[in-house]
Amino acid sequence: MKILRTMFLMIAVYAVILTTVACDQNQIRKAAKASDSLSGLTLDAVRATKQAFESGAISLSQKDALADKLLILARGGQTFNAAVKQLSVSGADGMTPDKWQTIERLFDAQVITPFLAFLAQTTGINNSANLSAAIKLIRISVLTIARVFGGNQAITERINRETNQFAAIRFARNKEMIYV
Amino acid sequence: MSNENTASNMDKILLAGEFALSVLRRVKTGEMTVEQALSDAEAQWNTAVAEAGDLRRLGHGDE
Repeated sequence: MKILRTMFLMIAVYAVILTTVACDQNQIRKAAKASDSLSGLTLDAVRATKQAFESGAISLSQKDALADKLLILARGGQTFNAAVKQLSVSGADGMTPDKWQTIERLFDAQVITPFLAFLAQTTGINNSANLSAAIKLIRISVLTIARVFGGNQAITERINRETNQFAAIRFARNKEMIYV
Repeated sequence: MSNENTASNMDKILLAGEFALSVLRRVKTGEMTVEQALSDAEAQWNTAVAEAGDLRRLGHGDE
C-alpha cells in the first residue's frame, strides 16, 4: 500500500512538472509567433507611411512624426524579441515566473507604449487606405499578443481604453484576423 | 489629362494590391518552430528599424 501511495505521488508530481513545462513552452511559442506577426505588420506600416508620403496623402511633418514613433516601436520590438529568444534557449530550467513577468513588463514598455504613441500620431490621418489598414492590423495584432500573457487583463484593458478614442479605427470583431 | 488620371488611378490600384499581398503573406500557414519564428521576427524587426530610419530621412535631402 505504501509503495502504491509513493507511486501515485510520483506520478502526480511528474504530471505537474510536465504540465508546467508544457504551458511555459506554449507561452514561449505564442510569444515567438506573435513577435513574428507584429514585426511584419510594423514593417508594413513603415512602407505604408512611405507610400502615403510619396503620394501626397500626408505632409513631411506628419511623415516625420510617424517615422519617429515607428522607429521607437521597431527598436522596442527588437528588445522584446531578444528577451523571448533568451528565455527560449534557457530551456525549462530557466523558465521561472519572475522571468516571464519580465517579458510581460518588456512587452508593455517596449511594444504597447510605443504602439499607443504611434496610434496617437495617426489621429486624423484617414486619407490613406493602406496606412489605415496597417494601423488596424497592428492594433489587432497587439491585442492578440496581449492575450498571450495569461490573465494580464490590465494590458488588454489599457489598449482597449486608449485606442477606442481614436475614431479613425473601426474595429470590426467579425473581421478579426488571428495570427497567433 | 484623362490619360494622366487613368495612369494615376492605375498606380493607386497597383499600390493597394501590392500592399494587400504583403499583408496576406503575414498569414502563416502550418506550424513554425519557436526558433524559426524568432529568427524570422529578428530579421523583420531589423529591417523595420533600418527602413524606419530611412523613412525619417526621406524628404530632407540627406539620403
